[in-house]
Amino acid sequence: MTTGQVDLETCDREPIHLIGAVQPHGALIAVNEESQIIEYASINTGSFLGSAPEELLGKALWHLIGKDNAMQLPNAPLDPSTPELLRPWFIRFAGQNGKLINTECLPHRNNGHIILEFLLPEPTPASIWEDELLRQGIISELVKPGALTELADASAKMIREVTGFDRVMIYKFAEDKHGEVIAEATNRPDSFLGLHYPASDIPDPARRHFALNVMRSIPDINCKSMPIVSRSGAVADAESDNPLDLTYSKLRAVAPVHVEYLRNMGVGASLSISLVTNNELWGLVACHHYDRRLISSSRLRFAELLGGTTSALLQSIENTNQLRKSIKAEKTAFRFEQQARSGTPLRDLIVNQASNLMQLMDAQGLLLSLGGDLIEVGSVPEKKLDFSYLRALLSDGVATTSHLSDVIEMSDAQMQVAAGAALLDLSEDSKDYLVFLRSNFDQTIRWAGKPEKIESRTEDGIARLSPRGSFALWREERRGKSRPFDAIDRDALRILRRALFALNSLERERVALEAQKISEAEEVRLRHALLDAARASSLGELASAIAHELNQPLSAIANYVNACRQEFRNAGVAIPARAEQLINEAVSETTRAGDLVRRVRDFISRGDLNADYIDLNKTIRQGIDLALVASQLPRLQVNLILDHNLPKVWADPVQIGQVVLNLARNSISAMQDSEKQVLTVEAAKTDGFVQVIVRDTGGGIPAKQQKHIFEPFHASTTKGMGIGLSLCRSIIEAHAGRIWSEPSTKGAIMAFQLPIRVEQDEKTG
Amino acid sequence: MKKPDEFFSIYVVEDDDSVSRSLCALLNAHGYETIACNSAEQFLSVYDPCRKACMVLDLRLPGMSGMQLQTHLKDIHVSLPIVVVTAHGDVPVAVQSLRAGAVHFLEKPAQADQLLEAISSAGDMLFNRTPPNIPKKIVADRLSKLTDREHEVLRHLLEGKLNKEIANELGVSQRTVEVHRSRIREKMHARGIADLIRMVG
Repeated sequence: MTTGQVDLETCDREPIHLIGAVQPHGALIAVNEESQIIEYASINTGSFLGSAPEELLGKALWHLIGKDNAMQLPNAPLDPSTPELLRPWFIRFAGQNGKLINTECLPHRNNGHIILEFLLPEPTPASIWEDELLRQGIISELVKPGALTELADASAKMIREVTGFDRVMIYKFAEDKHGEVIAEATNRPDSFLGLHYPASDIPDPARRHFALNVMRSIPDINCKSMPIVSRSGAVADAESDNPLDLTYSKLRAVAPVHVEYLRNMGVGASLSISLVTNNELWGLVACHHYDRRLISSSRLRFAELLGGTTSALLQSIENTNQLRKSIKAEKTAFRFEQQARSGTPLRDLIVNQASNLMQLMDAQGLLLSLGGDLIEVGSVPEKKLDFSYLRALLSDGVATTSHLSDVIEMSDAQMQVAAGAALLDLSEDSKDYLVFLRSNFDQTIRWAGKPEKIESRTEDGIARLSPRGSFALWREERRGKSRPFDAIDRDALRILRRALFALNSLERERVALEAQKISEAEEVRLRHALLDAARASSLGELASAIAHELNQPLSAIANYVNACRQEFRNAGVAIPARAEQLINEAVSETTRAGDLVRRVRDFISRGDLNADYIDLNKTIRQGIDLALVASQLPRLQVNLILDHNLPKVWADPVQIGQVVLNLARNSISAMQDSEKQVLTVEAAKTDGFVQVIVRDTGGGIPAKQQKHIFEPFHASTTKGMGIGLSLCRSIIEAHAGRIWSEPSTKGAIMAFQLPIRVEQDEKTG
Repeated sequence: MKKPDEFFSIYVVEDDDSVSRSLCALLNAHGYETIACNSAEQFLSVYDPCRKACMVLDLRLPGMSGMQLQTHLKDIHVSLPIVVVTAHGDVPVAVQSLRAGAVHFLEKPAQADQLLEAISSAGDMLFNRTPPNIPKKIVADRLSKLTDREHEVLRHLLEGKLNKEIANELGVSQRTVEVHRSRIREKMHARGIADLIRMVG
C-alpha cells in the first residue's frame, strides 16, 4: 500500500458524515421522526434484527421493535448532549421468525430522523463491573495529579486497563493544531511519546467530528463496511439524492484515509475519545490494538467516562497552569519592583534574573537593549539581528512569533537559536526592549524514547501517513520554527512587560532628575565660586585701594623731602650732616612704607588670573543670574542681547562674571524707586574688542560723580564701601581691557571691553 | 642747571593733587619747568606743540586713561617722551605702555633718583641723543645663549602675556615659566621687561 492512493487534501473536502455505510459490528436503521416509517437500513440488519433491509424499509418502526418499545422511543433522550454520553437502550422484541431478539440500541435524533444503532448485547451485567472499578477508587487516582502530564499518564494507564488496548496515547493539540503525544501507556517495546504530528494529519472535517462525536470505536479496520440503503434501494451516501447524515452515529464506517493511516502503523483496531474543553478539541485519547478488538459497551462507556473526567481535569489543570504562570510572572514582576525600589538598576535586575526569566518563558536565549547597551544571555545568534522588524507585530507592547525568519531575514545558524522570539517593548521611544529567544522546536523536544525506533511497516521507504512519516513531515514543517508562544505565554509576557516598562520609565525619570540635580549643583558651585571670588577680591581690592591711596601721599612725601633737599642745595645752603642723614632716613622710610603696603596688597589680592578662552555670553548670563537672585524688584525686566557668534576672549570667567555681577547689582539698586525697571545687557564684537554694555533705567550717574566713580571709596550707592567699580576696573585692566561709563540722560550706561586675542596655536614662529 | 638750549618742560599728568604738587616741586628743584595737568583732557587742552617737553604720566586717570592718551597721541602723530609713573604696575600694563611709546615705566612711590634718571634720558631723546643703546652685536650674543624654549617664552613675554597664559600655551606649569623668565633676565642682563623691550622689542 502506498500513500498515493489516499490524498489528504481531498479528504479535507470529503463529507465523511455522508459515507453511507456502517461498520459490521452493528446494524443501523433510520426512521422518519414524524411518521415512524423506516427510511434507511444498513444491509446487515438481518444478522442483528432478524429482518433484511427490504423487509424493513417503508414499514413503521413498531413492526420491527413492537408497539411498546416504539411508544417508549420518543421519551428516550435523543438529542446530542455535551459532554456526550452513550445512552444505551436495552430492548428485546420478537423477531420475524418469532425468535426473541435481545439488543443494545443507541438511538439519536438528527435532521428529522431518529437513527437507531443496534449492537450485540453484553453477556454479563455491566453494572457490577463498573461498580467494582469505581470502588477501587480509580477515578480518585485521576484527581490526584497536579501536573498535566501526570494526569495524562494516569489517564492513559487507566484507559488501557479498562479497554485492554495495546497502546493508549494522549495527544495534545497546540494552537496551530499540530499534535503532540504527551502520554502513553503500552505493552509494546516502541514508544510514540514526544512525537509531534502536523496539523494536516487530522483533516478539519475529522476534527469537527471529533468534537461532535466524542467516542469513535473501530473494532476491525480491515472489515468490510455495510452500506446503508434508502427506500429507493440506493446507497445513502454523498452521491445519492438523499444521503443520511451520520454525524452522531457510533457505527459510521471508517473513511479510507483513516484506514490507510491506521494500516500504515499496523494497527488492527482503534478507539478514540476526544478531549474537549470549552467546546474546543483540546486533544485526543487514541487507543491502538495490533489485532481486532471489540470491547463491550459497558467498558466503552467507562472509557468514555474516564475520557470525560480527564477532559474536565485537564481543563482545570490547564487553567491552574495558566494561573500559575501568570502568578509566577506577577511574582517575578513584584520581585523586580521591590529590588528596583531598593536601588538596584533595572539592567542588573534583568541580568541577575535572566535564567529564571528564560525558564519562565521557555526561552533559551535573552537579549536586553537598555540605555544604548546590548546584553546577551544564553543561546543567542553570534551575528546580531535587527529586532525592530518584530515591532510590526506588537500588541500591548508584546510581539511574539514562532517563526522569526518570516519577519527577519537570517542565516541558518541564526535560525537555529533564534527560531522564535518574543519582544517586550520597554520604552516609549522604542529604544529599550527585551527579547526572549526560542531555539528550533525539535531541539527543545524532551524525548521519552528514541524517534528512530518508531515502528513503520512499509515496503518502499517510509509511508507518509505513519508516525515516522508524520513526524518527519512535521520536522520539515517546523524547520526554523520554535515551540509556539501560546496564550499562556503571552499573558505572562504582558504581565512582565507591564512591570518592566514601568520600572524603566521610573528609572529613566530618576536618571534625568539626577542629571538635572548635578547640573543644578554645578550651578550652585559656580555661584559660590563667584560669590567667594567677589568676597576675596573685594578684600583684595580694598587692600589694593588702600595701598593706592597710601602710596599717593607716600610718594608725595618722598617727592617733597627730595625737593626740599634739592632746594637747599640750589640755594647754596650747606645742609648739616645730621640733617642730611635725617632727610635720607625720611625718604627711605617712605620707600619702606611703600614696600610694606605693596607687600600687604600682594599678599591679599594677587590671585593670578585663572584665564582661558571663554564664551562671554555664558559668563554674562551667570553674572546676571546671580544678580537677579538677590534682586527684590518685582517689575524688573531683563533684556539680554547676546551675540552667539561672539569670538572667544582670554579671560577669567569668575572675575569677569564678578564685573557683570557688580554692574548689574549697581543697576538694580539704582532702579529701586524707578517707575520703569529695565536692565539691558548687550554684548557685541567691535574692532578688536568684545564690548559689553549694561544699561539701566535708574537715576543715572550725577555728572559731578561721573569722573570719580571708578576710584575707590567714592560710593555712589550708599550701601557698600565704594570699591565695587574700582574692583571692576582692576579686573578689566588686568585683562588688558577698559571700563568706562557713558554719558546718558536716562539711567546709567556702563561699558567694558576685552581684547580679542587669536588663539596662538596656529601662529607659531 | 640745564643749559638753555637743552631746556625743556615737563607735563605732569596726574590727578592726585598732592602727588602732582610734590612731583612738580621735586622736578622744579632740579631745574625743570613743569606744567601740571589733572587729566588727560586737560593736558590735550594746554598742550603746546612748539614747546620742547616730555611727560610724566599716571596711567590711572579719570575720564580718558593714560593708555588711551598714549594711543591718542600716537594717532595724532605727537611724539613726546613719556615716563609712566603708576601705582599699579604689572607686566601687561607696563608692556602696553612701553609699546605705546613710553620711555620709562616706574612704580609709585618712585625713587627720586630713578625718576630723575628717567627724565634725563627722556630729555636726551628729545634732543636726539638716543640713550646709550646696547650694541646689536652684544644683544645678538646674549640672544644666542637662550635655549629654544627660552626664545619662545621671550616672544610671549614681549607680546605682553601673563605667566598663566604662557604656561597654558606651552603646556607647562607657571612655576616653569617663572624659571624661564629668570634665566632670560640673567642671560640678557635685563632688570625687567622694559629692558627686554628696549633690547629686542
